[in-house]
Amino acid sequence: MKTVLPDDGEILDIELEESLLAKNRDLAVKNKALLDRHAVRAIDILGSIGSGKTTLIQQMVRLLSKDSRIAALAGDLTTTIDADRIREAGAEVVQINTGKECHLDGHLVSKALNELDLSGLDILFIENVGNLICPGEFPVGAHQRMVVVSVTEGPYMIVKHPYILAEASALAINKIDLAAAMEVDVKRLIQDAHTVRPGLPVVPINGRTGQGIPELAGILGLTNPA
Amino acid sequence: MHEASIAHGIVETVLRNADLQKACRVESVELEVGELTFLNIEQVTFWIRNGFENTIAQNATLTVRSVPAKIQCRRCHFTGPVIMKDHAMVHYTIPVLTCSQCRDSHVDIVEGKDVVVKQIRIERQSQGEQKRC
Repeated sequence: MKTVLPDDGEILDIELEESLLAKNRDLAVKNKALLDRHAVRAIDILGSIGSGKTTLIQQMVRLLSKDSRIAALAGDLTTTIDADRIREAGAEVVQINTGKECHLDGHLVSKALNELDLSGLDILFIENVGNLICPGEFPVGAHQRMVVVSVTEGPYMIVKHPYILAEASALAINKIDLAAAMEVDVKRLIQDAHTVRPGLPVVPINGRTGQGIPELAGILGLTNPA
Repeated sequence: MHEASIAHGIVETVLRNADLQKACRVESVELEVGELTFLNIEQVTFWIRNGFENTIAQNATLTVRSVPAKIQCRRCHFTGPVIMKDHAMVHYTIPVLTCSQCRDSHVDIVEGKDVVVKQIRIERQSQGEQKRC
């Protein structure tokens, strides 16, 4: 810290340069290093409440659990609804209840990682708290970030939330079977995503049936696509 | 509502450093907020003011500078601003995260994602001196 003292008087300018987000970033780096030591690949999943994050994880677990050992961290303000659903699909789950906070952070994820036997894992899904704003600020140490939007959220999800795609590795557009009923043009959503991030892998999916899930898993490097 | 938790961190940082310097009053606080953060400056300012109430920073002048986003291209190593594109239909500007030189989409965000307390100006009580503030 540099301190600039005036010639006389008692007014001081203190240069702090103190970042409010640096501590979280440091924790995220430590989480990632821990996951790397155990060769666990972690995916941070971001999306609004009801976009289909949990259903997507369930389908991923069903698809991948034959060849991979999978666990999930389920972030929610409260309840164990999501954790129970993912456990039923066959993955070990640690519930993170944030209480009132709108996002997971490096600290909470680090505590949750202590609850898992990482040496017995290949893949970790981190289901973030349901919203597309706050979680964007706080990396948690995952290797990749996947964003999920659904057509039931309307046609403007991407243009209203462009910044969430800044560090995404993939975008899933869910509930495409309802696109016509919702009068949402999936091609337009893809076009919007490619305006913000040209070349970003975008996969239309149907979480209920599992349509698009193998392609998504391949893009995230979780399978060897045939 | 992460504006409130970020603001709480800012208040804590300012008061902790003011205390370390034995300040009796915080005169001003300078902040930098990155353009690519998910923060609304007006809301953050509101919560900081709220946190400063009944403290030695109660009357501090708060200056917030928005830091423009900057990207670096992994292919041609160009470093520069993020292109902003007007989305006519929704009257909104959206960022285009691609290299403005070679158009490659593999870019890293190198500036505009942080929140930094840059500087505080304090008044300090000298030893043996009558109370200044």
